[in-house]
Amino acid sequence: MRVLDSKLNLKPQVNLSRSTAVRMWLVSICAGIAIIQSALMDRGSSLAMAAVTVGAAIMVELLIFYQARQGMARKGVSSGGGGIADGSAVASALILTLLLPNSIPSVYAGFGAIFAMVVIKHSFGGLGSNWVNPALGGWLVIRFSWPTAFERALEGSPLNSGFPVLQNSPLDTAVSSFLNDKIFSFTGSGLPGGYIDRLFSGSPGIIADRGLFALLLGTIVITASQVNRFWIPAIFLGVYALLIRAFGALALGGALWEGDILFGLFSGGTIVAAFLLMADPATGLKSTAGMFVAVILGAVFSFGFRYFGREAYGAFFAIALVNALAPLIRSIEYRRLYARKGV
Amino acid sequence: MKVYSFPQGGLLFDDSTVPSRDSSETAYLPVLSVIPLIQHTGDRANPVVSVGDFVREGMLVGRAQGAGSANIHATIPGKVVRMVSWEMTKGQTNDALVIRMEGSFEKLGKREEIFSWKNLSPFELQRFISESGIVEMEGTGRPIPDILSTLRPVQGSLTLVVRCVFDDPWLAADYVLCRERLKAVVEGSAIMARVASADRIVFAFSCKEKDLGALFLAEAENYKVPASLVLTGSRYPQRNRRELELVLRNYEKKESVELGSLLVLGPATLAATHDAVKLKKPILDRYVAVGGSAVKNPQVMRVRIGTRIGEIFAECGGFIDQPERIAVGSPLLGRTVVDLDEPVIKSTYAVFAMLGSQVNDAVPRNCISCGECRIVCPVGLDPEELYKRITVKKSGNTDVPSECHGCGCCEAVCPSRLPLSSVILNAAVKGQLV
Repeated sequence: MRVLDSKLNLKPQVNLSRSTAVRMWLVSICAGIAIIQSALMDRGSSLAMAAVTVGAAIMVELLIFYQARQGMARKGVSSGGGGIADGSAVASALILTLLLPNSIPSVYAGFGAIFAMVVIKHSFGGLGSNWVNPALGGWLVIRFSWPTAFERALEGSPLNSGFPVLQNSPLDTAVSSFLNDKIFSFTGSGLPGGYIDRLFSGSPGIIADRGLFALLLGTIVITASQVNRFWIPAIFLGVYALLIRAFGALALGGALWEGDILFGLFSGGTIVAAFLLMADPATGLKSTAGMFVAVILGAVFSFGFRYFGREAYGAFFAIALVNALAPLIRSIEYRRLYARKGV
Repeated sequence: MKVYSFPQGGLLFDDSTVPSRDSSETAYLPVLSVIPLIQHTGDRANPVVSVGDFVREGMLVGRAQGAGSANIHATIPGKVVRMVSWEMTKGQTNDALVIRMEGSFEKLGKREEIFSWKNLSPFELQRFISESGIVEMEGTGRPIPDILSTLRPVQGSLTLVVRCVFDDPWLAADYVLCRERLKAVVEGSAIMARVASADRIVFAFSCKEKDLGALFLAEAENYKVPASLVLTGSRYPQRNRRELELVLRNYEKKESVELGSLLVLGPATLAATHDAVKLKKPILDRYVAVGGSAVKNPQVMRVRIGTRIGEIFAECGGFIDQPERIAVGSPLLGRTVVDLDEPVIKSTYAVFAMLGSQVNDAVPRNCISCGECRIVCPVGLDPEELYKRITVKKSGNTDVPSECHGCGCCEAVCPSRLPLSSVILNAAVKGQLV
């Protein structure tokens, strides 16, 4: 068996991918710049909330790793890689911040971050072992524990009315006119007013919607850096947009094929759901086919919850539901794709 | 012309630190040559010279002992000044003769005597190959007579596959060899086809090198063996035996050509076969790609077997900065070198020194289930699940699939820097084969 033994000497001497830590910090930058944009319009309260969630998450992680190290030292085992340097706690805290309204009391956000770290992340074994995205878990807890505070923080949001009347700022008018004259005129179409303002929204809403322009820039960075697979958000947004166009208006008393795609994509946390929650690898599926099914389910549920369930942030519930279905789909994947190969 | 690729997984690997494939440089002759007695898969060759003896260039210094072993020859003339030993994997000891260059060369710089082989029988040709210690000039260095002996019981047709698939830029040495010694490789193929009684020769070339493949095919017309060209994809590990066979079986089906059993050999092995039979010359040197981000002037070199790796780096201008890792083979599947006195052996096709930025190492962390290992696995395994079963559940010995051939793709793309292929291959060997 010398042939095989000598094969054991051979191993990759390089790694061709970005490390987990780099990926987490890139996600943190993506979320962070969206929070900063929101903070520019709320006198820094978005930033203060981010500071609370990040602080709470880091504190919890430090405590957990301290306890783990103590335990391992008692057993005489050396501790492996881990700790806040991997950036996962910061990334989760910042994503949680994105999912929350900027005017909700920060203490709730802090509690959500602690719940996300302790219950969602570490009780299942730490980074990569959670069954639902930690930030999403934290958001669900806040949403159901303090529904009144949540609703109050969203009072005045354009999402509360079915067909919002979009106000045009001078910036919106100027940019829309420019785009219509220089680009859309070639296709015979036109961008109605009000959508550019959605990118710089100062109205009540979750921070992801308020910092949309920066969030879109951030998603370009993480997609270009191959932190996530580009086709996951692309399919999610594509299916979601198609459903909105076909049935979106119908659900709100309008006609077929009159749904407002841009408003649907630019609000309700759709972008953060597509790029950060749906594309989260830890809660995803094993195969490309499985992930394809999950993404389509996520988009269909998101549309259903938001437009027919009248839940403005239906996309978050939809992804939590898909995360819950993931173990079932994974077991099917095992049997169909991998079980015959020794797994 | 249709390009055949394996169906799933693999990765496209490019590296700006590989040497240029335009030409080769001949390395200086080593003053001290270190000739290991194990340069093959089997037991060490039995030394037939002692310390203090004088040896000639190309003289037999180690005789093969049983299956897996191959003859070893001196690559420079001189005096055997000492015998050194070091420990290899699993505690096996390798010995090497250290030869200090003295006296004159019998082959180098002399007019080469050419022997005709066309009237020789396969048995006689194999004897020359065996005496010259010809092994597969890559991987584990399996002796050619051993490979041929496994083909003997095979009934039906046999095809010699000349593996010129360059799925890894670190195969630059083989590429340069193909260009500079095209006639020798093709004639070596014809000789090997005669030895193995192959019915046809297939030149398997990456699609990017199809022009070179056409030159091979044109040259092969000088011999009586039917030959054809098959273009393959360039995704790593297309060169791997399993992936190459998949492609060739697909070709067989599409083109309605009966290939039968396959004898797959690389161009370096076939050039060595040519030299052994036509020039009566054992393996004295080989093409080696020298590079990596830490090396000042990467280049493909023609290096005497036994030359120490440190000397080769020195000839390439030395290091830019302290290397993080020095290894032989390819960055995708190589072996770390701990001592620069380690010599180039018959299967050394590349040596490289990398700076930290190229190694791209990081602290191993928890698996984030990103699934990239599953995407790149050419066999369609689930490396994440296998790794977790072996390391966490400790139940790997019974159900680890033998399909893993250790291409290393999963480990090379793991963002958590987990030693996936190393652990899985190790478990496969321990659980099923030991």
